[in-house]
Amino acid sequence: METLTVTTAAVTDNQRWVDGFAERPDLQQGPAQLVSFRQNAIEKLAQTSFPTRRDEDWRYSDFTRALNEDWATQVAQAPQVVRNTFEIPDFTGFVLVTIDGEFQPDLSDTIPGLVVSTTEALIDDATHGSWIAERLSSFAEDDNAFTNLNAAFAKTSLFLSIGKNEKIGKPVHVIHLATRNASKRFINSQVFVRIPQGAELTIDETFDTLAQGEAIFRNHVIRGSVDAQGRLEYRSIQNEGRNDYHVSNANFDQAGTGYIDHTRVDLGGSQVRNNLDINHKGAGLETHMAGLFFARGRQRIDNQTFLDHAFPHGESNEIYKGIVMDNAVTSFNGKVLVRPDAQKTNAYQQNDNLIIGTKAEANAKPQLEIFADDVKCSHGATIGQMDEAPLFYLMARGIDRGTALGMLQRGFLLEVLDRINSEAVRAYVEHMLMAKFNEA
Amino acid sequence: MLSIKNLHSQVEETPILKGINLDIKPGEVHAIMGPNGSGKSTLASVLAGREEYEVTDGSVDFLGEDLLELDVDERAQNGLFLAFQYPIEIPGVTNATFLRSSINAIRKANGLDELNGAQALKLIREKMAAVEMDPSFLKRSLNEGFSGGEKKRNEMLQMMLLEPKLAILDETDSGLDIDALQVVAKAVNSMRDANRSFLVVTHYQRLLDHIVPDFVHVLYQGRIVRSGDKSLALELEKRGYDWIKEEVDAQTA
Ligand SMILES: Nc1ncnc2c1ncn2[C@@H]1O[C@H](COP(=O)(O)OP(=O)(O)O)[C@@H](O)[C@H]1O
Ligand SMILES: [Mg+2]
Repeated sequence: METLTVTTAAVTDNQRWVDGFAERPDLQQGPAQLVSFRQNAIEKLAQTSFPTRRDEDWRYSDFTRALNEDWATQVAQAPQVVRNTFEIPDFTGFVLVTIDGEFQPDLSDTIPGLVVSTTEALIDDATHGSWIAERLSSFAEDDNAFTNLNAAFAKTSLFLSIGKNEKIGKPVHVIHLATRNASKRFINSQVFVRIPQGAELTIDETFDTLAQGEAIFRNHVIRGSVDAQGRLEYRSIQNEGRNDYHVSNANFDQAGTGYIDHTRVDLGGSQVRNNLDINHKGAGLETHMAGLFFARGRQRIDNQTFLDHAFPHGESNEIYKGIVMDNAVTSFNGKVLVRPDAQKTNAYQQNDNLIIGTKAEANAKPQLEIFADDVKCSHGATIGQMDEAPLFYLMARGIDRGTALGMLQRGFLLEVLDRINSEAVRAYVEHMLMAKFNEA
Repeated sequence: MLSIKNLHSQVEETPILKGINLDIKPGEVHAIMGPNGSGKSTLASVLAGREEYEVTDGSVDFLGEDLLELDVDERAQNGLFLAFQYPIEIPGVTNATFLRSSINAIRKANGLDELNGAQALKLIREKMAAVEMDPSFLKRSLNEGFSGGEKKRNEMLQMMLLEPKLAILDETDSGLDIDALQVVAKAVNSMRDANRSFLVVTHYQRLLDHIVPDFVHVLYQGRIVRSGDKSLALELEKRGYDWIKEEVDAQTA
């Protein structure tokens, strides 16, 4: 006789989010459109499962256990914030601050020439309302439980835009703070960036935490569009606490002749997952995507990127480099799609990983899918161990093992560090990197 | 300065050094010659502390300390320098950063103040001129894409900057044209003094015309089979190694 055993995998209990949503009357308030997007999103979430290891694209990121912990979603009472603690030293630009996802005008600079506002303030606006609504509805309806969750709970989200053919000439640093307290806190933050035709903007985004206390789970979304001849330079630097969780969903629509240069840095977090999607909407554009990650201890850092070349004469350049040591696990999954119409595309993708020690694990899955015949595409991935020979050479010149290792690790990541077009930001990243190299 | 007694070393169970005895006193220049594969680089590597060469017997005293007990970096800090036969290329680490880190690591270990960027640069440029290296090599990644001769000049530059008590040159002359050879000889000769010693490993007598050794040793099959003064090098130049090989092989047969 046959016995049938049914095993149920651990799943995330979505009902708790639905219940949590009902306990937040503040989410039912505000502009009617926004309230209805939130309502749609929570309904969608009720029917959408969070991904598990069984989903091919989430093999190295399973947040089920983390999600099932007890998370508070209310915006906390933020302590007094001394802004300059979180600023980038020697940064010559403007600073904006969010706390627990909400934009903080009082802590932020006034930026001449830049529209700095919130989804709440602009959802019914003649110029930006429909653009925001389009984005909010699209990600509330995603088949991605994380973005549904974000759309349901996000409140006073930052919106940035600039006039056609304008630029402000200085970068904008967005500091995202999260307040720790006695209970674990879940933060749904959103940023919207709209770059119209011929306009230019540089954004440096960092994530930090306020006060002492329990873990933070940040579920971050950034959505943007870059129109013809528009240029966006967008860096995102994550160095949150080693018990914190971080999921980021970045999604940009890039019009023909638009330019996007993105760099992502991940040093912190206990478990980190980044989704980056760039959708090409026209011919002759240029996209740069760079990533730098360094995982140690028991950290898990997972980068998933998707670039959709759908039109001719596009250029893309992707380089992700990471170091993994101790018991950490990293993965890179980069998909580049070159559709039949995307003739004369130049697509380059590279992912290099350096493993230190015997227990660390790096996973690389470069995927280049080409359906056009007149294109130049290349991709590659390497996973290597730290060589003894260079280490011996440096030590034979009196340099101690730790310093020598740090020099070699930095050398390995240099190609990505060199992509950071801001001396202050680069120094800031290098400083954090060095501190992490030097951890015992 | 350096006293090697009955040194045995193996790589992956294969014995390579089979009882080396060598004494180097302050101010002396010793040359080690010998056919390819005789163990010259192995001896140099064991002294510098390369881990894959396991010491199975013997002892090495360097300036009153048990050298074999010291880590690689400590040996360098104590004044031992190895000019590599094959200098390693290290992408992403500039020559300037490397040189400064190494100067300061050694200064710090010896209780001296570290040099700041400007001081280090001044010193480095001065010594670069001495080894006829263009300052543009400072910005380049360490040894990456350097020609054979450029790598060797860079080794000499490091030797001059670190001012070791004992410098071991492992075939620094091989593959060099006559001009580069002169640079190497000049670097060594400018540093010779009563308190500094050199161990010059070479395959050819040519270098020893310029760096005149006090002693010449022949290494063959992991042993020093003959020692003499500089005339031994000349004899080897004339007669090659075969007669020594034959003599040794006859004895061991
Ligand atoms: N890392 C190694 N692994 C295996 N064999 C080695 C290694 N290094 C040296 N040997 C062997 O040891 C012997 C001596 O080599 P080496 O010291 O390089 O000689 P030399 O410098 O005198 O030409 C050679 O037979 C060489 O093949
Ligand atoms: Mg050799």
